[in-house]
Amino acid sequence: MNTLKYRLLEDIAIADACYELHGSNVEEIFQAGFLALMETSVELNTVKEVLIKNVLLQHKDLERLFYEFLEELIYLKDAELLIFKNCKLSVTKDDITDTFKLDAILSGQEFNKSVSTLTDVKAITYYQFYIKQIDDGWESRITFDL
Amino acid sequence: MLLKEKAIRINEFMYEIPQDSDLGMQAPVRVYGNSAIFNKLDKGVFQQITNVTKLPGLVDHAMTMPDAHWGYGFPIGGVAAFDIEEGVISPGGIGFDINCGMRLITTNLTVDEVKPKIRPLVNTLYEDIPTGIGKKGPIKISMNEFQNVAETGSEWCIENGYGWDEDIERQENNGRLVEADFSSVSDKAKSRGIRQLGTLGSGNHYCEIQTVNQIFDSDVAKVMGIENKDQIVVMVHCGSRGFGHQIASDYLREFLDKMETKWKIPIYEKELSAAPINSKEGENYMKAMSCAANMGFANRQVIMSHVRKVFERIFDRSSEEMEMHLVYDVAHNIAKREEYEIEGQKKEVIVHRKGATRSFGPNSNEIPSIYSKVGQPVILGGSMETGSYLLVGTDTAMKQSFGSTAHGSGRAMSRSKAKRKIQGNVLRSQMEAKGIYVRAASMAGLAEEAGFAYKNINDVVDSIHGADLSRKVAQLLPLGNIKG
Repeated sequence: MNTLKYRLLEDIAIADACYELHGSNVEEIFQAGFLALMETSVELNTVKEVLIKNVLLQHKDLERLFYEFLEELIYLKDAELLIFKNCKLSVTKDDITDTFKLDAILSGQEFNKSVSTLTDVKAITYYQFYIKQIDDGWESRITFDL
Repeated sequence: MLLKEKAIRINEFMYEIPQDSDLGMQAPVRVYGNSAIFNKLDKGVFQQITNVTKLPGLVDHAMTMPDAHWGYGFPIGGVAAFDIEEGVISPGGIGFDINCGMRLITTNLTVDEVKPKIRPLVNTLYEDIPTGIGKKGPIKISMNEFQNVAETGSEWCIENGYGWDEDIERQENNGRLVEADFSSVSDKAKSRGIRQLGTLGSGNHYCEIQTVNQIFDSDVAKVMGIENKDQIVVMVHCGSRGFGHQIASDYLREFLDKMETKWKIPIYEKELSAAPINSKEGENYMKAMSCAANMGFANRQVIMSHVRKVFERIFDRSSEEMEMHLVYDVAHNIAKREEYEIEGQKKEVIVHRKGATRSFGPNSNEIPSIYSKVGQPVILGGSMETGSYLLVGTDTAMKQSFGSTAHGSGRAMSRSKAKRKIQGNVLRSQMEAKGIYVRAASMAGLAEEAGFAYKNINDVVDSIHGADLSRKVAQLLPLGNIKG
């Protein structure tokens, strides 16, 4: 987790939150996105790891897969009242079907009074949204509607 | 030359960027605001509203309201109407929080009666109305019942005991868009929304106890139930919650996947995805958007019902005795089928209001009979420190802005800068010292909503009053507030 990097781009989307993510591989980008979303929503040190949720997604487009992963986290917040502290995941490419596959194990809890909440994330937007490989790793930009 | 530099000052409260076919603009852009407002508008506003003028079927001109700022697709404060045969519908012209809106409730209480009880009143509202993330609504409903909520809006609420019969007439579209069809909504959106009926949400959403500070038009104020200075009113600001957010995301993505290949509509910005209104996809979005709008009306109706009950407990009187009438409920993120006279002919259009409020003038068929002589109430929410305004709709708005006006003050500072400038608990203490008692689910969230993070609402109100898009009726100042 210490190698994961994200930083808030303050002057972009002042009513919301735009983050730049960095990682040495694509999994680290997905994990950085997970962390950015969770740390925007709650004080993560108040979240306990008492349940596990497995998220399996696939898409031919890596960018769309990342978008759908973040959207799934937002969906679980509202539909199942879940918030997560940790995420172990793999992103693999099936060369036969030309499809990217995500297998994420999320650990966290249902919301209760002991979770210190910050800001509700309504949606992941397409604003300046990208994920791409660069010289020394991977980079992404994500913007949450708050 | 930057787009902003192309704007010509038409009068004290309006600028215009002329149509420029070299830029792909099919129509001019009108920018409402006095010079103080105009000078501070960010360049994203101009780029985004210019993009809107490139979409097919735009009628007349696109415009921005004085509270405009950069958004997704349309700017916040963006208004545009499209021909129902040849035009498009765009989720970016409505927003993620479909039917985010405002509701104002009067009482016959005065500040002298309420101030001594403001703490128990606010604390009880905070306990009774779920606010913030991860909160379940107070009403457990089945999926069948949720379908009724989504298709009939406030009607479902009244039928199930959440409100008075008279409440229905005092809402845009009587609290129900009839085009709603639950089958056009994804399972994901249904799952996100089913537990959230009667929840406030977070961010800039709130339920606020206010006092009438100044009355500008006593005749109109009286019609709306505002009788005296120091009268207590209650304002609610919230929307369709995860239900609307998911519907917006679902259709934004569907249109994005098809707009270039199927309909040959260029993508100027991904958030400005659009579909022809008379396509199957466009029709489905109208139906789903209408479901979300109905959830917004129903949500505010249930919350109002709880507000009345809390007042009853604290003041030991019935809400009827306290004359807790609904003044009006307005939507400020929505698209509506409306009819206007364009070049001497009646034309049906789809008006998109993204962070903009309807502002229908007197004698409009679509406003309650009680307001037909004066025009509809327009409710503008300010920050929790600076206060809000009640205004009235005008004939000028009907003729010039597709019956539209501003919605609030608009952000001027990022959330993170606001949090660095002040801590939530310090802000809360400062507000208490000024006589405003606040309960918030998140101190960080509270700091983000500090008054200094927003534009000066007086500039916004002076601009829309000056442009005669709506006229000032009363200024309302906060006394107590609950937020997520």
